[in-house]
Amino acid sequence: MKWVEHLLQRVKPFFDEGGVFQRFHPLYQAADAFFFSSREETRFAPHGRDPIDIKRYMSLVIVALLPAFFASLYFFGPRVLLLLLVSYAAGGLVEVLFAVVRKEEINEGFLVTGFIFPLVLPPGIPLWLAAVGVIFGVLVGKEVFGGTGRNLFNAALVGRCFLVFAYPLAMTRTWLAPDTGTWWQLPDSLAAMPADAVTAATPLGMAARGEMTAPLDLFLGNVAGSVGETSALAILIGGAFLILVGVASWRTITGGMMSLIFTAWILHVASPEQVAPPLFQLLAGGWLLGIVFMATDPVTSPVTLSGKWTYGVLIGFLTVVIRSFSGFVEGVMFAILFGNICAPLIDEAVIRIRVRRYARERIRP
Amino acid sequence: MKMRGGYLPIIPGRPDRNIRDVRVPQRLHLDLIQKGLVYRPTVNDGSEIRFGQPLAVAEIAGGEVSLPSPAAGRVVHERDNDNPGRLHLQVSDSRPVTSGETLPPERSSAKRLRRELAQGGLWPLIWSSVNQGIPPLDGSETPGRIIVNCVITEPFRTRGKVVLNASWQRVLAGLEYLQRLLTGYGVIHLVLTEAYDPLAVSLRNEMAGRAWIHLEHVPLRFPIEHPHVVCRTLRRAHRLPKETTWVLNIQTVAAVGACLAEGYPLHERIVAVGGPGTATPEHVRARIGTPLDAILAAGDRASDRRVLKGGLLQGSPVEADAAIDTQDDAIFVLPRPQQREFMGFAQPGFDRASIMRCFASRLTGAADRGLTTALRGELRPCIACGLCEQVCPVDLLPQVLHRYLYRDAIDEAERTGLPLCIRCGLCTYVCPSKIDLTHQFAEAQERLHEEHRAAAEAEAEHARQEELRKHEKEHREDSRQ
Repeated sequence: MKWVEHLLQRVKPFFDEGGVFQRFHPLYQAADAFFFSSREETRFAPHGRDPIDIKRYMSLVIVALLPAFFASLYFFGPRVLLLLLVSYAAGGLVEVLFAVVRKEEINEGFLVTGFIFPLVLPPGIPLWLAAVGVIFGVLVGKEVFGGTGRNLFNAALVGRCFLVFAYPLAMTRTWLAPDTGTWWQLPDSLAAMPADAVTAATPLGMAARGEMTAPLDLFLGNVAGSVGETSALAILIGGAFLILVGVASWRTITGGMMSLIFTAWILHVASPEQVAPPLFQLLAGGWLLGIVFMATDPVTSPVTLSGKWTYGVLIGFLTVVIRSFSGFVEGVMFAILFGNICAPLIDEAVIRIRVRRYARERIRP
Repeated sequence: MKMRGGYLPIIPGRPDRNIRDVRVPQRLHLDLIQKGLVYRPTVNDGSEIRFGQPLAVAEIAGGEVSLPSPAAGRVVHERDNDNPGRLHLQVSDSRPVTSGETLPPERSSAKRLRRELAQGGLWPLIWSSVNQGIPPLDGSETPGRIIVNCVITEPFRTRGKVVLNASWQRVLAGLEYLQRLLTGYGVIHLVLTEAYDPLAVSLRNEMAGRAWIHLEHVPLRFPIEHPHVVCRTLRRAHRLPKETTWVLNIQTVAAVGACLAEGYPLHERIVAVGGPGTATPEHVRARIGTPLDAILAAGDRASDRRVLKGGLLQGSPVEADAAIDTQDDAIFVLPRPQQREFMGFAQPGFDRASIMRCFASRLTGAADRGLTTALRGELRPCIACGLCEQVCPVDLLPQVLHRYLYRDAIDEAERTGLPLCIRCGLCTYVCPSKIDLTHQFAEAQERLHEEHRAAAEAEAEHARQEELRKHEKEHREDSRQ
């Protein structure tokens, strides 16, 4: 620990006012804040504070993502690691650039975005595309709005949405069958998908053609799909952890789950050939990854607690509808992005109701 | 009763139940500005005064309340480095003397009780739901309900049990007298925590047969002791109509008993001294005006501590020469951070307790030993985690208010309940982005208040002008005729 402190002390003059790297002071600040707790003391009451801070908050999300990440390493091999590195490097660059230009601190929120992004990509996607996607996502999804805490859309999903529309072929033909990535193929997989990789259809794609995948395979993750979404088990472990520690809103998740199951059930009963059954909807595709890790992104969901219920319900409903009645086989991404759009509206409705109550309360004897 | 919101952090340094008597010092310091009241001295420099004689009076609606002398002695004005808002008393005899003019409750009229309480310095300790403050003295307001709160959760104010143990008889007497202030079928609600607590059981036995006493049970969560919150909780739980309600805490009731049944004016307070910075957390019984130096150990006033008056969540730092005033019951000593922690966010956290279940202390139930004056994190934009809404005891949306005030939309904030904020400080305490919400809300409330005052003034001025113009017009018409 001491040597880190010494090192930071040693390089400090370079980053301070008048130093060579003065412009990159946010970098130094970020390193300093990463290794050591804040120097600041309280100025106003209450003079002591709760120990929870954003660093802890965000690192818990990363911890919760680890099971899904390891599952994807197991199923798709070392390419996943490469994707993660590319995502962090390219996205981090944008984040640092903006912090330098804006003379602000680097926010911890990026660590989560950079970790989630590779998990929503098809495993066979070329690395440069992953970089393009994360750069677009961080830039347009977050930084133009003013950074973490002010963004309207989930940055990772904005990046993915961009790729889906700009490079539709790469995003739909690079699904790999699980267990295709092996560790000795690492050099091959640098540029693009390995030549001998076996592509496969995703469960949702197969379901659209009327072939159902076994629920157990869906549950364990032995299917094709985005990097992190295939293993329901791993995601559920992460989700349980997030709800347990209180980082993810259980309201959003419960609302979403109930709405998805209910909508799928009703529609499945009404038209079984068009709508897949609830259990399949629950386990297949990106639903679990989306509702557990993306829909619960606090910044882009409604800020009010009752709004979070509505938001979850909306996302669950839209997911089933888009999956069943549109040209896209997967609808989670669009559902969540649409939920992001509606979040301020939902909040406004909640606030309106509250305002009426406050007006009543103001008149008291 | 069910309480909305609220949260009680586990803080180390909780004082035990024993009470240590602090010797009355040679000199007492009495603040003339206390909790919004400005007292005007009624004694001259150098005059000798008796125990209980009024030192100063303050104007309130419908009368005057006095500040009784906590000891016999001589008034000293220290001219040079004197704080104008302060009286000093050179103590000659510290023994409390009863006035001897007491009447049993059944023979005391409400008018007499009000006068006694005002003279005894106790009236300002009563909270009324009508004006959210001190009730008027002229009897224009008779409460239908009085809430006596024994549950005090702020870390650390003098707890109800400590007061009950120390002055059981006085509390009972105080309740008997307070009952005389109620309307015809008025009720006193005694607010306790658990129903099966031995103290609650003996209280219930004692109160058997008194139909005007109702026992209520509330969860042990801050800020249930806040008069507004307890009043609201009670009304919601029993679906009561809005009627005049007074709130007193248990220590005030004990003092009311001492004043009306035994003839002692308000002269001492039981004060909890606690917090992670103090070596000996304890309760002390101190004469009003005792300087904090006489109460705290020498180490507690060192520069590496911050001493707060009023508890951790609502307290504010004390000045060097602070003394116990008539409403004090909490002194909290908070250490200042000594060194920066290495990668604190990645540690399991056995030594820190948080509202989020993300530290290992959840498993052990440990107290928040890492509590210091540190901000414990970096200032960040609001991420809308919703913790503040979860803990808000008055159903506000602090995160929404913050957003409004951030873009200076004070009118929206006002509509969205900003004036209802009671400044309990919980939202700020739990905020992971370390935003000073309470301070922001308090500032905005001041601004709103100021704006409303200015608007009212302008309106009055406008009305006056209008009146004048009308007069002139009539005058002109008259002269034309």
